[in-house]
Amino acid sequence: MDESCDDDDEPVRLEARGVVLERETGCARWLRWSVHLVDRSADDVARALPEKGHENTSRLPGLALFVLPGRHQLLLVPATGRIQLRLDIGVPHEDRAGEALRLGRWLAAQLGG
Amino acid sequence: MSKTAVQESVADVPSLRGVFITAMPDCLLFDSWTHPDETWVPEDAASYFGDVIRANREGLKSLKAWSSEMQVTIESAQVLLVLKELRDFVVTLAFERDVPLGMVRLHTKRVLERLNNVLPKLEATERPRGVRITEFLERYAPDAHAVLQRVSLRTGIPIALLRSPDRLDANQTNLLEESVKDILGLDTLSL
Amino acid sequence: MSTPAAPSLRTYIPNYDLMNYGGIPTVYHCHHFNLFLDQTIDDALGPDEGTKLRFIAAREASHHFIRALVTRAGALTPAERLEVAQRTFAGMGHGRLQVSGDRAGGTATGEFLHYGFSWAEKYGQKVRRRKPADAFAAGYAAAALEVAQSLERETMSAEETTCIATRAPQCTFTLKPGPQAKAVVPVREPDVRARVKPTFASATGEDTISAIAKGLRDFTAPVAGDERGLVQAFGVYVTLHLAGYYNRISYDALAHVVANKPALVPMLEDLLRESGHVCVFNTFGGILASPEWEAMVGKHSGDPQAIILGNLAIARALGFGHWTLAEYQPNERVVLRAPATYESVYYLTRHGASDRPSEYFFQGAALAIAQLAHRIDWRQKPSLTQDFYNSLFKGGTLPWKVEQTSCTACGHEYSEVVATRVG
Repeated sequence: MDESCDDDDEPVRLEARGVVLERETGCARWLRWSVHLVDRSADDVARALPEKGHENTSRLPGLALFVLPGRHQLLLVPATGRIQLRLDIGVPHEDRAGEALRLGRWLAAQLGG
Repeated sequence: MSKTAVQESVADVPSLRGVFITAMPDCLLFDSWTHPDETWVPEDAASYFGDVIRANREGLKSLKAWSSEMQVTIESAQVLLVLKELRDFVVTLAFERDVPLGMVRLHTKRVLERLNNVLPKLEATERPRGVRITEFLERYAPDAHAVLQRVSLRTGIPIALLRSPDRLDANQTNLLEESVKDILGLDTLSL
Repeated sequence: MSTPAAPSLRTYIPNYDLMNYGGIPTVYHCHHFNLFLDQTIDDALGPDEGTKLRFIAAREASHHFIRALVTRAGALTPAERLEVAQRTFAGMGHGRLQVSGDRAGGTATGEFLHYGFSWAEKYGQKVRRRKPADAFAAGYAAAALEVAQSLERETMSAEETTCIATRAPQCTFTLKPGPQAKAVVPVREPDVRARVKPTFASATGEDTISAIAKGLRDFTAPVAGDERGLVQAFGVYVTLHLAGYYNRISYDALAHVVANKPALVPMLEDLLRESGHVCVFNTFGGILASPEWEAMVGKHSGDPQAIILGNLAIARALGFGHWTLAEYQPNERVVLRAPATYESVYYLTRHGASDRPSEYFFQGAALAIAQLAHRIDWRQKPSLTQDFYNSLFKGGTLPWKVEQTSCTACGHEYSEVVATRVG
């Protein structure tokens, strides 16, 4: 896995069991990741995480927001199926891909994957 | 030099993914071959390889450790690069990552011997310094799309002249160089 | 726990979408704009004079701002006043600033200071920076000490002595008394209200723009700095910033170049416009691409007009002014109008009528809105990378141009920018 953060412009895809992460571009580098779950939907996630004790703190109808340890965020739009992982900007550049993958694996585990 | 000649030079090296031949001192792509499965754009890469060799040369000279046998090896997650000066060129060979280093060196020696026989002798007409400085700037400046405007604002050199840097006089070239060093945060430009 | 920025102090002038905080004109801006604009000022004036102007502008704007806040808060002692100033700084997304001292001067330290931190984030792995980046924080620290110690305005100087953007471990400042700056006409909310022209609705899509803008304002109302003093919304890091700072550095630099290097005025104007272009392209684009937008507005339809209307809603929510769509011909022409912008009201108040259209942010923004609407397929996942941004300028220029055809700073009835396709 290439953890270099020098190249913003190439697609980056990380895979673990049950989850695929694709880097999205954004204001700061390597912080936003599209999350694609195998056999699970955004709805599944929005239901499963509160059952595990995580609070949906979104103020926006139609959006679920879970703040994870380390100030990372998981955003879900159940109506469209979109899931985005947002890393905190305090994560050093060289650790961002690894942190994204760790959180992807964590999420898959929360869903029993 | 025909593509066939480059391709022939590397035909029996199955682990090779690409060859880039950069003409020095201007760091321009002279010729290349890339594996059909690769999507590399040789023009994008070639000038950087020239810069690498040049910077490496200067670094080794500062350590009084430079020799003409100098070779740069770069290992990344996906590819292993070997860069070597060959007369007026920098030859860069890109190997699959998992090739043992011993084999890489063997293949490199063989390919370079072949290329040495087919590469022409270049009339090394050095392009104007202003041209090389602006090309260097546009390669490395962040916000490259606006950098010539920035230089114009800093130096007072009209933007039209900066877009035709071969026409810069000595004083303007010096101003340009100082401005580029400031923008890039460098003490010197390796040109 | 977040650092509240007393959201109730954020107000908008009704029907003008010009934002004030504690009665002082403010706007939201991202680091793309903040860094590019500061860099442009330094390019125009040189790093020393550029830093000096940025400090002076920050101190001037901050002094009025902090004084207004401590008055509202009823903060009387130096410690109380510094606490208000520091808490607000963090709440606005500028990072954490700790100021200490007395009438003879003092020191300040900063963490996650917006300019230095975001410069390191955006550029730090590509180029080496030689000079500190946080002139705004220096000016704010100086003003905070002035107000805390009940000193005359703009009598404290401050210099950033170490900065993380130059790879120092932290940002530090030295403060000491200095000569008082020449007084300039303050620009506060009543001045803004006195300078706006009669408002009007968008010729197209007013209901859509208004509804989205309201949703955005409601959503961002409680957003404030986290423990580090960073503000993130829609996946974008922004600052609530003093409009007076932006305006003063831009127009004072312009006046200097007009007076001393008139041949370079077009270059400076280009770069002031580009500050707007890079901001709107990245920040508005980031908002449009966010899950929050998708939840609030829905998936993108592929209609360029919808993108334009969305951008105008974002502009209103960020406090740039009541931007409207006056005319639209797909793929050919985009005409934006406003009864006032945060640029024009400042210019009129401080300088009187301008002899040339000079709302550079509005100009650059219009150009960016035309790009976002016509050069990106929003139904796919847009990749707003630096490479893509650079590719917009193939051949060195954009395939669209912009012209400001009317300017309230010149005394006209509205400000108008026209983006047209070329070639």
